[in-house]
Amino acid sequence: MTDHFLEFTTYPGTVEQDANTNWQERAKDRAVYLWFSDFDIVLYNVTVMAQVAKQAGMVGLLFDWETYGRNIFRYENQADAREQQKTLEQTKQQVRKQGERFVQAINAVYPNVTLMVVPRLYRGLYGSHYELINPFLDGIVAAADPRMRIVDGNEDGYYASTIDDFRRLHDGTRAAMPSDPDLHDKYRQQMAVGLRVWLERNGWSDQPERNNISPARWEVLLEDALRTADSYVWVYHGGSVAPGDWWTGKRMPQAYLDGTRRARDLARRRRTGQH
Amino acid sequence: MQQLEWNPLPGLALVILVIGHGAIHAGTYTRTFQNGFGGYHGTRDATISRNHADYNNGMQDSFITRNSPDQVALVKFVGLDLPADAKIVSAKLTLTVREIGNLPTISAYGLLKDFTEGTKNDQPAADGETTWNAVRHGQQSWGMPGGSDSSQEFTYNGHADRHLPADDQITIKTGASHCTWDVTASLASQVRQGKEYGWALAVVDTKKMDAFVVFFSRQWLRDDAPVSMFPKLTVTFESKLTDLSVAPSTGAKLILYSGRHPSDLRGDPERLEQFPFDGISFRASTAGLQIFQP
Repeated sequence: MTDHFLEFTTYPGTVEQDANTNWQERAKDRAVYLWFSDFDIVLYNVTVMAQVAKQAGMVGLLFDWETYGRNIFRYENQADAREQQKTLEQTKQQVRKQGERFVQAINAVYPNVTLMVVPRLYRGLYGSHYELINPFLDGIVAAADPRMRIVDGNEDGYYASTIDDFRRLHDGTRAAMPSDPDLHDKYRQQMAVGLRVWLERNGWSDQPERNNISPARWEVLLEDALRTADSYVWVYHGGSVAPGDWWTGKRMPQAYLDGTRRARDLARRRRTGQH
Repeated sequence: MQQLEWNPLPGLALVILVIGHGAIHAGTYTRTFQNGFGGYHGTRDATISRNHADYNNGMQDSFITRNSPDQVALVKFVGLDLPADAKIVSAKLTLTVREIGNLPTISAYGLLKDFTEGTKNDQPAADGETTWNAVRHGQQSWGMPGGSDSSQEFTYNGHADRHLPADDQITIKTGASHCTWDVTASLASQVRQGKEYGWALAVVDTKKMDAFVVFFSRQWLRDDAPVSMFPKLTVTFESKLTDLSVAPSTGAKLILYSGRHPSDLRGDPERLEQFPFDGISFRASTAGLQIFQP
């Protein structure tokens, strides 16, 4: 194995000792003081992350911006912006600036890092629930070291069932651009399309015949995704009451492990021109 | 740049740094552009036909050049993303031959206009799609039908459609083979001027009747077609900036999300060996880190 990532996500912070740490309830009613106040903490933490990834020989970081708890990318949640009477436009500008600082902190220790972003980059409308995510992504693209690869993790790969589905998703992802036109060329050069697949999406049984995705179907799905993606296909793991364990083989029939290995090996041969 | 070690004399360290920075030389690099190889998906190809002069034929699983009736094969590679200072040393266009007729001799001409592959399978063209009559149907005609107006200058988007002389010429003697044209001259010009217009391949025989060649196109997907069948462009270039830009993609790899650290399997090396992924991602929290939280 050669390509490891360190994952991180977005939890509104607290230093309260008795804070509720359940991710579904954590900080759901707490005001967000971040973009105009506490962002240096984020920069410190992400610098540590990048150092860990680099020193451990990982290829990069996996950044999941889907918010768990209070949404830090929703304008109406921003207490500091409200207190400082910042408009939505002013807040977007600040978030973009913090996005630039965020990636500069990473690149200061790991310039050629790969940053995989999930659930996705620019393909998709987030509406008023996530007005601040695109400015944040724009900041990342604008200030990213030219050696850095930015991968769209494409969670929507869940819903693909044929190679044509994957291709449409790939092409749509390639076509989706930053909101700032000045970033388009840089983005094209540095981004790559990834895809996500999910074996247990419709539940899970250790008896293959009871599963929605048979071992043979799984193998073809992986082959198609690997044939379409530019960079990484990542297998989401979990979401059912008792998912199979890829590591120990518990509740994971051997046929799925074998099919996964064959799909991976075919992709390896393709990458090296041996197929 | 060379690796610096700590030095108790800052002035000396600075001198070493300056020398190291000045020592960046142009390197020579070779990259292959072929759909499915290294994550590349930018090939475009099409056939234009005198007999269906307003039809687009960009979606077939093969593309063709023929002398009677006249057909011309078009191919280009977009998204090369070569470094800004890339100086082309050589460029080779390789196509896989599916079928030939009458030992055709094929020339590869650098295109001076940007064709659009289109979405049709030998059907009337939609607006903007390339046909025999038009580089962009309904918008812009070729200088001459079939994209045959030529110029000895690499002047793009003027009246001429393709450069003369041709980059290279090959007589194809057998099907089921790979054929390679040296397209260095036209690619060097296209890269210098920021164009990715590609090539027209045309039969040059005038005495043989029905000389033709059918190439496998990028749309060929039957029976899990191997990557090696698709059109390929191999580019060798010199650059000082390559090491300062994003590394070319190496193709898709398979990652397990939220996996455990491989050290968990230290006691079971056989299972680790059999683990069917190229890598894992694991949560920062397992390393005692929380981002976006003090």
